[in-house]
Amino acid sequence: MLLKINSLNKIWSGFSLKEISLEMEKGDYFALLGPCGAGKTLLLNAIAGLYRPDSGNIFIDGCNVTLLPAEKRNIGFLFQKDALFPHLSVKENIYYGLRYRQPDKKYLDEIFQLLGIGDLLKRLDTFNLSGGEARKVALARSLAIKPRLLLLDEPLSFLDPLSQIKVMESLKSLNRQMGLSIIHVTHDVAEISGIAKNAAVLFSGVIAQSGTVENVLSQPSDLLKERFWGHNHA
Amino acid sequence: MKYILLSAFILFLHLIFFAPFVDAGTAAVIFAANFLFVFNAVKIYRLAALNRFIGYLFGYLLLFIFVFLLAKANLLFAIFVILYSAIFNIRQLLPYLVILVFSVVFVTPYWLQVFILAGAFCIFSKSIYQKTHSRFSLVLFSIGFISVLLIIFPILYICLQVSPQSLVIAFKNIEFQQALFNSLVTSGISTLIILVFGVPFAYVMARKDFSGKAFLDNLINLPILIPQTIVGIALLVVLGPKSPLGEFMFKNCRLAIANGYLGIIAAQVFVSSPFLIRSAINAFEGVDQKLEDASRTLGASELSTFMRISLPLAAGGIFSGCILALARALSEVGSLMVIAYHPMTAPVYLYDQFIQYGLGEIQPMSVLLIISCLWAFIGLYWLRHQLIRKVK
Repeated sequence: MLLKINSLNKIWSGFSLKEISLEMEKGDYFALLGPCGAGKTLLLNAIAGLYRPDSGNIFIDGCNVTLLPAEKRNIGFLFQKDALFPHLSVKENIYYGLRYRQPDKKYLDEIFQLLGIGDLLKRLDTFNLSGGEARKVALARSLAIKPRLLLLDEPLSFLDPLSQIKVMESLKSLNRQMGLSIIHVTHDVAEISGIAKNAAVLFSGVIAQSGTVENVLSQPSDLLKERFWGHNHA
Repeated sequence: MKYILLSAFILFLHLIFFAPFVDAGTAAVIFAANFLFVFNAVKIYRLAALNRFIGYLFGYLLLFIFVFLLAKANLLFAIFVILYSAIFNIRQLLPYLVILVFSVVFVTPYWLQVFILAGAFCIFSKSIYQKTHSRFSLVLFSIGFISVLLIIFPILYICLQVSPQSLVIAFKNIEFQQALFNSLVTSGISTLIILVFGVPFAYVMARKDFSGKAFLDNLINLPILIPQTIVGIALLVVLGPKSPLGEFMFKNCRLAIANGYLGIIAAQVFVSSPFLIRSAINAFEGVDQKLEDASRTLGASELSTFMRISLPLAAGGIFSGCILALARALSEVGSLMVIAYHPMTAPVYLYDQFIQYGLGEIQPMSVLLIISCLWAFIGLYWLRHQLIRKVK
């Protein structure tokens, strides 16, 4: 068991999470679905340690990390709008986290090759990167620290269709070849079909349903039937 | 042959119109100007359209009426005619000639200032109209330019009143040099003090939420609100020789706070801190919280994130705040006159000289202070520009 969340509660300026419980295996590709404003990003922030939950516990690898600050959790986070550091070069961005841990040259080369960003490393600033390039640089930055879990907050948003396919391919090989555990947050079910194994649906701060992706998509729970998919869909 | 006839014709007209009214020397100058005018008129008649030629003659008529008849400035008339003939073909310059004539004839004592400001107004409004094609912005700018006038006019006037020689003499004044030195050193130290204590405070104010924050936020502005003399009085009560703290410092360190550098710095820190702290808060608020979050998830502690992300990204705004605070500290007078009349800073020295010797004595020094401050700030803003380019 990589990640285990026990009845987590958090109220934060308008959003709230109520009695969230989740379990995730090592090496899983976990999809967190839900409409905008359901509290998905808030839950990711809680897992990453950017917010402290009001109550409940978070376990990673069996350790209670609820009170551990974000920098000690070793969790990669891909932010919705990349959040690249504007005052640093591409290389400085990617190597940012390596000041705090031993860099692994072989692993980095592997990442660069997998993402195909070797030639971007010479860029002196991040302003001229295209949407897809910036997303990959941000991904490389969060991967450089060898995270035990990668959190993706709408990783395909603001990308053109071709870049979306490329990013999805990279994510798939990261999960399948390198065994990286991934939580993918999205409001678009089509994004994760064929890649994610397990899924949970978050609705107004409550886990409405969880299980394998097939289960979630084919047999929606009553709550979802009623509110998320709409009556016609059921 | 043609030119001789032409000259004879001009001379003839001249004898009728000008000679009876002016003395011989002026008449000669006006004759030369008129000759140039007619010579140019012939050229325009041959090469350009008729209405342009008529316009040329009409302009001369206006000059004649306004400058020669109304203002009775004969020599100026000659000069303007020469200028007019020379630049008639450069259309962009004509409005400035109109402004020049207007300012010389109608606001004679302030003609140079009016000419410079109106000329600047022309340049700006032309550029605004060419770039935006919006009459509305032009009208707004014209209204708003009054506020610029209120700031620039007194400064321009005093600067154009003094001669360069008097500036040199003023600068050789040892007392003035000492005062200027005092000003620069104390305001520099004050700014550094606010920088060291204000920036951490600003970061917490910008980033964290806590009870009483709104109260503190308003408290920052207090020094702007309080009249300067009261600031001086309050500081004197706390730090003066009769106060417990002042007595303690004098007994143990042989240091007088009031009437000493410490007093100056205390007053300057008090009055200039809002500017730096406010700028720093705004600068930190402008840094995207997501960037700090990203830094945290990459393994950087809060301190590390502050040093590597927040501070570099807010540096430009903080530096602007430093410039503002430095400016405020440099220009402080009111509270210094209460708590530390000596050692004198430059503004206090100027006031002192004004009381002792009157206006004439301090004008060159004032101009010198304006110029040196102006250059210091231009330099600082240039430095800030370089810094920003490096960061961004």
